[in-house]
Amino acid sequence: MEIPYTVTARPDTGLYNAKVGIWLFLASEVMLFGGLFSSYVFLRIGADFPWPRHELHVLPGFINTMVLIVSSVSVVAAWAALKARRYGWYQVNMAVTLLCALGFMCIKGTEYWGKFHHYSVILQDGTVIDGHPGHANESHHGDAIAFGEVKEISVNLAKSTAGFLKHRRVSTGPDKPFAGVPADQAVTVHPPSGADVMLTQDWLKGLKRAYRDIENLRAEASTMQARIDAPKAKVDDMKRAETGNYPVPYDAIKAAALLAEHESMKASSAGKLAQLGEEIKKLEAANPNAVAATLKLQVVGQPLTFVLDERAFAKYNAGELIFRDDVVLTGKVMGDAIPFNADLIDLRQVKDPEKSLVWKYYPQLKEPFFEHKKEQTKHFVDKHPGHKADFEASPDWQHEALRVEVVELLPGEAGKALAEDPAKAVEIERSDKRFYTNFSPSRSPYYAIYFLMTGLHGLHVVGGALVLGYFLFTGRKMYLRNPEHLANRVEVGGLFWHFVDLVWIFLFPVFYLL
Amino acid sequence: MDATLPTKHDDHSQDHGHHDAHHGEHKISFLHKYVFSTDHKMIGVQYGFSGLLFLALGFLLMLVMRWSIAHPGVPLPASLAWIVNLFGDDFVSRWAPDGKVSGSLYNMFGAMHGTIMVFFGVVPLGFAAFVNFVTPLQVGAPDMAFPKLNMWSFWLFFVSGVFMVASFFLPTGAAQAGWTNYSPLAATIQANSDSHFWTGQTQWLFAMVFNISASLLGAVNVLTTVINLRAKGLTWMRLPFFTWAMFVIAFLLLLAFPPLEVAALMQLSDQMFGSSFFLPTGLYTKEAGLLNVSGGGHPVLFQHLFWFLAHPEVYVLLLPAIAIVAEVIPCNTRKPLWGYKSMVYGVLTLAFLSFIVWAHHMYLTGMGSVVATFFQFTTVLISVPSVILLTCLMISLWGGSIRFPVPMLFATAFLPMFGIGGLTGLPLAFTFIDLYLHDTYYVIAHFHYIVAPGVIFGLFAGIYHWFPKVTGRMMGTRLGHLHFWPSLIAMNVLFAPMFVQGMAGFHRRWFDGGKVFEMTSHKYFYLNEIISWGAWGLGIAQLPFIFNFFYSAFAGKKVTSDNPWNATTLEWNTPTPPPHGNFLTEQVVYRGPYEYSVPGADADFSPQWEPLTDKEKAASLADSKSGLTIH
Amino acid sequence: MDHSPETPSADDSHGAPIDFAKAIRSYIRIGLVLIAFTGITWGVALIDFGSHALNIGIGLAIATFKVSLVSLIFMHLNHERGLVYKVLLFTVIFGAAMMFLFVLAFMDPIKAAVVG
Repeated sequence: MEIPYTVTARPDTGLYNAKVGIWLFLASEVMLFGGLFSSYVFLRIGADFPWPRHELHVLPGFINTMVLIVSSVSVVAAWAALKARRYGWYQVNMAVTLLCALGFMCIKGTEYWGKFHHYSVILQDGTVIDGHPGHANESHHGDAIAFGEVKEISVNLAKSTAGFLKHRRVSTGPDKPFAGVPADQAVTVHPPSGADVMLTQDWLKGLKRAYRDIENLRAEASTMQARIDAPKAKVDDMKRAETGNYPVPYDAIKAAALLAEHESMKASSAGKLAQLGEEIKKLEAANPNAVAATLKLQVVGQPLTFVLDERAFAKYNAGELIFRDDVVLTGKVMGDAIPFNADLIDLRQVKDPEKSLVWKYYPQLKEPFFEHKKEQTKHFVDKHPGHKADFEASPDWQHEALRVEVVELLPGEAGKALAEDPAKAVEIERSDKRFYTNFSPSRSPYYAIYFLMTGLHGLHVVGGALVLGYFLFTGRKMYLRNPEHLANRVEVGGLFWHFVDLVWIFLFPVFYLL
Repeated sequence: MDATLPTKHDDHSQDHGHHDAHHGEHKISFLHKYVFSTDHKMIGVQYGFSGLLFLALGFLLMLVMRWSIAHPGVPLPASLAWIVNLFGDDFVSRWAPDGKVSGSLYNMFGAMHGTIMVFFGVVPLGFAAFVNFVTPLQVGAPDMAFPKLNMWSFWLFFVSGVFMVASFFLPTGAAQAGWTNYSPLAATIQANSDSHFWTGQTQWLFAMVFNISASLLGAVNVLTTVINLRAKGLTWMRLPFFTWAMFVIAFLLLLAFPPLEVAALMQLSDQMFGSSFFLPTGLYTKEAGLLNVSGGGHPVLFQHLFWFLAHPEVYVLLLPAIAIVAEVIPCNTRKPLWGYKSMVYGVLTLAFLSFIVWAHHMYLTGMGSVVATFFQFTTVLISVPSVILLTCLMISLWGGSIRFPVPMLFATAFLPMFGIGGLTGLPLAFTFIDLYLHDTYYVIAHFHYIVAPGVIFGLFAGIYHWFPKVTGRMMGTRLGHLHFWPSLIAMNVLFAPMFVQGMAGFHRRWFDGGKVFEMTSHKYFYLNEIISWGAWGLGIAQLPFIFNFFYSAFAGKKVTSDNPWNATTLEWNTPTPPPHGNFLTEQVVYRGPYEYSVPGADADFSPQWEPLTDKEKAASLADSKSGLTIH
Repeated sequence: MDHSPETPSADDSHGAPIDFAKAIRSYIRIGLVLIAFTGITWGVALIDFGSHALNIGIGLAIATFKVSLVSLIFMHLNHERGLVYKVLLFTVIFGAAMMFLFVLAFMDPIKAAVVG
């Protein structure tokens, strides 16, 4: 038997198989994006930070909406052309659809690119400064800290890898103080026992293996010991239970039996235990550096310098830097300030804007800021006389009065230089910083859901374009064999494409406008 | 069994292979026949095998946990230590160097036991395997509507299984935040790892995204098959209840899984890209201090999205068992399913309501009282269709001349076991009782009564019932009894005491069985050991099944008829085992699915494919409302 | 199917013959309406209605209108049979339940009334 209704519609449902399938699939897509939209609503209603409004540039979004509408028209026209058996028109329309998809993704890509290169510093008091990392030098910018004069490295043989070495830098001059070191230029270290060696992954791996072998033998011995001691421990438990809060009578016969069991196990395992001990001793003698988990290595020659992103390690203080895999560097912090060019200041989450930490770095902007605030307040109260008393609670007022671009405060070249010239970058102290990020999903739940939804939508665009492209470039054979089959395929692909358009019709106002 | 009874139709078991000129001509390579097969039956068997393997794995993990609960701090005995050793030396030296079950190991096995059992064991076996094998046969279709998609579905599932199991071997170990994977614990528990990608938590999410995609493909396929490929004359109200239930389950999967996919993607973003979907402002952990994230997200959002899936998922677990039992019971009582229509409407109502009860898993999150009331109401309401289903099945037994082959044993045992599981759930529907019982062993006992002696018994019934159709051989009866009776006893020893412990306040996540709370809970400690005996017993009771399964597949008694149980639905009208393309001729359905012991008929069953006799035609003309009109 | 290989006949037994030019014209017309309403959405978003909630409501209403145009005309829902509608109906019900119940679970009118 053949599978029926692959091309023709089943009379009672009026649908061919693929059409049933695509509508069901779209139903599940509705639930997918429905889940995302309801998460958006949930996050927005529950936000404990000012939800961004009009922060995205509208124009690219607007153009993209039009691009998708055009592609929707062209894909349905492609189907109509097939229905009318005009293959040429089908090809033209399908090509237009694909070009639209390409254009959409390019515009989307530029938008993303801009976001990823725009940064925010959130200070301890809630002050938000948007801008760009001041490129004082190429390898030490943004959130990185420089940790130098490292003479001792402590590794944990149970966990560590030599992965931390990839962050090593050397000083090359005053303009570019730190540059990367080639991977093959390994560090020479002095281990507690034996001659100086190159600190490489392979060397460490060998030690780790030896350490694990020793540890396994030790574990085997201790398990055996625990098993031997278990009956005795049970007797101790029984003794304790006799005097506990809920006394249980002591069963002397059972205790004697348990003790006897303990003795016999002890006797029978003695040989094996002794043998294990011998083996452990032999291994320890052969690998003196792998006896304990912690291994301290002295750096031979020049002390090392590391430049690290804050996410790359666990914590640091003035003299020690500790990685997540328990590698400890002993040295000195050489620089941990954040060089930054601000283009926007947002004080909506600061208790007292007068005392914001931002004035420490930009004292010259303080006066213009409050000037601007006064102006906006007057403007706001004139427009909304009802809000005269409680204007400070209005998110609209906050948005207009407390969030302001640097060029607005300092018009002309001076403001522009502050926002763009690396020479005018301020050095934000790390202790003032609460969070530092670019405009990626980590910026805030708003940007997280923006990237997730538009990203997922973009994946749908790419997927749909691949399928439609397949129909365009390989459709000829099927068209000649059975044009209706190709028309059906294009209809089904088109249904998906319209759905993608339909999602964007909601995404555009929700993220760009409202 | 009854395979030797006289049958009243042609016997195809000898002549398959020559049936279908189109498919029989070209020989299919081994790879395409057994591995990358597009044949729904082979895919069903693949799903069935993987499901059984995962069930076994999940069960073994549980044995290790039960040891830790019953004998906290005592090294695993050799009879159990091999389970941990299965994962290799690295794993053992990381998680159980002294042979004892550490808290982390317990958490890992606990999370993976739940995940594997639900998403990789019961659903693939109960839904995917049975629906793939049986449903196209029952609707008289040559295959699923989209055979290639079907293959993709299985292989996506396979990949997700590989991801999930492989995560055990990562330095961080597998996921450890419970099968529900709540944030912020899920986001922080392995945050101290060098790579954010190679952690158990992240791989769990990856595996789930694959698993969900596989389920969606499968669901679309099943729905299309039932909607568009039904045989001539097979109207909706002539569909066997099995197919109805599978149809409904596919809808649940289709609409409930996407929100979990959303949750998984969001959590993935939290872990990979440092976003804060589920991380509130000011989140602090002992290891990392104040977390270096923006905050501003909501942990409760994850729970909403998760349970929006996971409550319908409960019915995805349960309904295959009911569907199977609804086939096995009429076949072995030799009388129609009582209340077929009520059951169909019941299952539809059940599915509808299952979408609006999810928050009863979340009473403790401090949600609004009005909404809590709404969810109490719907939760109590959903017990009505469940009871309708169970009652119909029980009444179906009444007055039947019941025979008890092995599938029927499991099917009848399903009824009281599911009853206990279901009814003990009612108290949990009320907020004020749930506040006390939440996360105790009472909850564990409640849902395990449904999924273990309930659902899994139903699935065993299905395996024994359709085994002759799949392999052409019967499973051994004596071994079947040796499987059934010990399992029944062990299941009850295992789960009944948990109700008592739960009401005494035993928390479900105590890896030491509550030793640290000795002062208040010592009176119920002895139950820990009894429950574990139940678990060991249950393990031993599965050995006859495993032996029977493989022995019978290759050396069991051959069936002499295509319809060894004398059943009435279309899957018994194929050659045995069914060839590619399934049926020799196009199927036409003349009657309802459960026409057993029709008065005046020659035999005690009138299959759907048998045309009406003259007498029946006359009767149907006389009563135009009888619904026997043929299209 | 045995059509002549090079020129498949337009009056194929399955597909109803279709007036290509007319269909294209109507699709383009709908496309222009959609673009116009996109512009309107942007314009309306810049107007201050006194409450931002109103802006959101109007913006979503226009989007819903556009979406219904796409689904009815481009996706041919206007001449689809009952089955598709049934599937979509349930989807919309569950989607709406998800959206509203999430939000409702967030709010506690009783607590708000008591605590303020």
